[in-house]
Amino acid sequence: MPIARLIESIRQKVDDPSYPEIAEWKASHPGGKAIGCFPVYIPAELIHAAGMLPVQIAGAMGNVKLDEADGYLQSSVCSVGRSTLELKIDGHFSGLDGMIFPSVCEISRGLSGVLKRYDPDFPVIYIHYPQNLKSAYAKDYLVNELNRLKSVLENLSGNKITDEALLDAFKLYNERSELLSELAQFQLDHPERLSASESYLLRLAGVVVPAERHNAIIEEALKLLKDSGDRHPVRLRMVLTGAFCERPPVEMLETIEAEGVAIIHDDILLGQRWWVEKLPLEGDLISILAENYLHNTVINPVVFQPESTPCNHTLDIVERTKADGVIIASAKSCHPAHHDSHCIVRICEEHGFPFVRLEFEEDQRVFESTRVLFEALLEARERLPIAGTDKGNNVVGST
Amino acid sequence: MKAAQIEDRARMMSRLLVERYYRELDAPEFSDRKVVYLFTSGGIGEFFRTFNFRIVLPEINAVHCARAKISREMIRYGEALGHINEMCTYVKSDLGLMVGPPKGNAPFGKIPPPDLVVINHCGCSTYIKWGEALAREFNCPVQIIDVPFLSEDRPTESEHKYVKGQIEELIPVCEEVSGTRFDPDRLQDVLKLTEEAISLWLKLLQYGKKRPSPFDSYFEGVVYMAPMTIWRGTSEAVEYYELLIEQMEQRLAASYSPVGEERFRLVFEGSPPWPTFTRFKTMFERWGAVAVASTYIRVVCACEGLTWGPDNPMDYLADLAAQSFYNWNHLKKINFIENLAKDYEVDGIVAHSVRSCRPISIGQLDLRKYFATEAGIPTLFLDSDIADPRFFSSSQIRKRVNTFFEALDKRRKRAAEVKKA
Ligand code: SF4
Ligand code: SF4
Repeated sequence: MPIARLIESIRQKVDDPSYPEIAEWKASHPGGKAIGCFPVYIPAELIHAAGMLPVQIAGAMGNVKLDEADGYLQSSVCSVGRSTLELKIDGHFSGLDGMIFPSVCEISRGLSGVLKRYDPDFPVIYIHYPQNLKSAYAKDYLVNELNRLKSVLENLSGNKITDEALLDAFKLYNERSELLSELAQFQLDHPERLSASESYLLRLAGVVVPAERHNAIIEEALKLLKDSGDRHPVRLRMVLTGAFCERPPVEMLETIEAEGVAIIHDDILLGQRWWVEKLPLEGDLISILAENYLHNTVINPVVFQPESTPCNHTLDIVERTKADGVIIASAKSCHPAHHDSHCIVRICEEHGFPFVRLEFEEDQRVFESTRVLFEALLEARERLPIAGTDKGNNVVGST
Repeated sequence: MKAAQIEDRARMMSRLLVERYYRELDAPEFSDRKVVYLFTSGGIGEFFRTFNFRIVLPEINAVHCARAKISREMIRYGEALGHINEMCTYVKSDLGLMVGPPKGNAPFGKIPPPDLVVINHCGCSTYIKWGEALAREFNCPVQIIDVPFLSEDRPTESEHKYVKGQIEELIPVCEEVSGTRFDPDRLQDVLKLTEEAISLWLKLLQYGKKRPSPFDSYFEGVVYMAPMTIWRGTSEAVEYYELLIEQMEQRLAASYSPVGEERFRLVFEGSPPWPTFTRFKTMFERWGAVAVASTYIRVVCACEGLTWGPDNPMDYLADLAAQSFYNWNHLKKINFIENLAKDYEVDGIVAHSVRSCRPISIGQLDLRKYFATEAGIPTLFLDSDIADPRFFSSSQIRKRVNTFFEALDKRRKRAAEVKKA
């Protein structure tokens, strides 16, 4: 099967808000339970080790109308927050046996409370990750949080999380990290053969299916990609940042790519690529998870890392990948992304990187202004040299 | 008794204390003292006071910009700096003031730049980004006290240890930046003053249970809370709340109500629309409505039922921070407001939602749903902003306020008729 067909087959499935794969998985795992994970990061290893299916909540992508949720959450709440609630109210989460909300921002936090009240019988777990990564007290605190989560999962699943099962889960997710790194490297090295929207779809395939199957999909994709030819025109290579939580519509990326702009690096579905290095396999496994959270977490807008902020990180990536510019794409009403977008703009200006600043919503359907923005960028590039410190080549916009 | 008949000395005193606070921030005699920036929710200023820091609270600056009617201009400066998206308007306003053309020169005082920014991450993640931005702009060190969100009713042992540990870890940092050695005895003394002020403050909040309530816990409460925020751990705060209690006793003896005649008793939830505060106040006053209890004034670290006291200074500080109102979970908040409604015998609840402040606003629609439909307490939901006057639609808000009170009026008349019948 050519790579295009594999990707197309994924596209058919990913936007079904009722998560049909949960039922499929449950049919083949009698008594098995599925746990929804609100973005950005949840230790899926623990869920897997409890014999449960971790399901990444990835929004409704415009496939449900936000009628009911608007009665509970203001319109100033990001779309992924409102659509998650709508999916629950509309019964699309009937396959889920509980949900975990991480401490990304007040939306995740507030939503966990609203859901608890909405359905008191539906297990909702909130987990606070330390923001003070340097504190000597952070590790003990996080070990405690993880143990709390572990025992909740054990109760829900009726299975003990053994060291053996957790170690297997570490190996499985390490394998996934490795495969996804390879995929990211391919996207960077060969954007004419693998576009960001395709890479994104391949990652999206993993939000519901078990990691074993996702790994097999990525493995197959990598094999197919090796033999694939050029399929995408590349006029400009850009880095996309800011879409780490609410996910942008695939069509938004396709609109950008249709202009010949390749996105060689992105932070979409960042939770799947949370660890910088693979997890070590020796020692107390809960302590390993905690330590890695403190010292091996990818730089991102919802973890306080003053020495290496998302702004400096973007600069590093652009320099490392020799990208032609930056796409600062923040979900509408995503305050963490908006705050960082300001300093990323500044860094781009200081270093003369062309940039485009845009806002998206997961249920967005029209991308005309996005197209116009990139057209303008390409026109400007034809008129001006792209490298250097000339501020004139920056294109700022917002859709 | 009419409002004018009892002099509101506490309001005057509060204003003087605010003026003095801003004067001292820039006073030559204090210029050798280093400057620390802190945030209000979970802001344990008394700890930093023992290092002789001058304490700047960026949110308080934003409040005063709004009260001085310059927030729109400051927000515009903030936006000109590139903070263009939808985000907390306090941040835009403060960065506009500090980094924009005024460079910290506000009509209410000159705000010195920070030598240290401490992000007390307690209920609001914007604090992190705000603190980072300030530290970046002023090229100074930034530290964090991460206060886990209360997943249960009270901080767990593990949460407590983590917060306490982080405060202890700040000691050498503060010593280095301030040049002042940590003095545990001084901290204990300061905390004793905090405890004293808190107990008077909590006593004040109880007056709302009286009929008529001698004070308005929202429209007056926000003035009365100022010393609890900016003068924490001082004898000034203690004296202030003593005066306030005295004033409440006087008012009580005179059956005084801040609205003349108390007709409706309310619980107010959410932060005020600062730029249009007076206009907003009038909309309620004309109906004889009094906020006998409110949640906003509980944002200061001063809650009931703390586990620790000044004899265990670090534990006390950690407890004060962790139990701040904005660190409470949704269910705890709803429960608390419901109890307020019962204990203070209110006619209704008003939730003022702030577009750009999500920590406070998220869940308020659900709260309305719960109170209005399940708990049977009439609830009014209003929507504007904390600092940006453009979001305050006077006519729309007035209309909704009037409709709410008309309905309350009818309800009351019906109840009276039923009783009579
Ligand atoms: S998209 Fe942004 S605002 Fe929404 S939950 Fe994620 S981090 Fe929070
Ligand atoms: S978001 Fe709300 S709580 Fe946070 S700083 Fe702004 S006004 Fe204060």
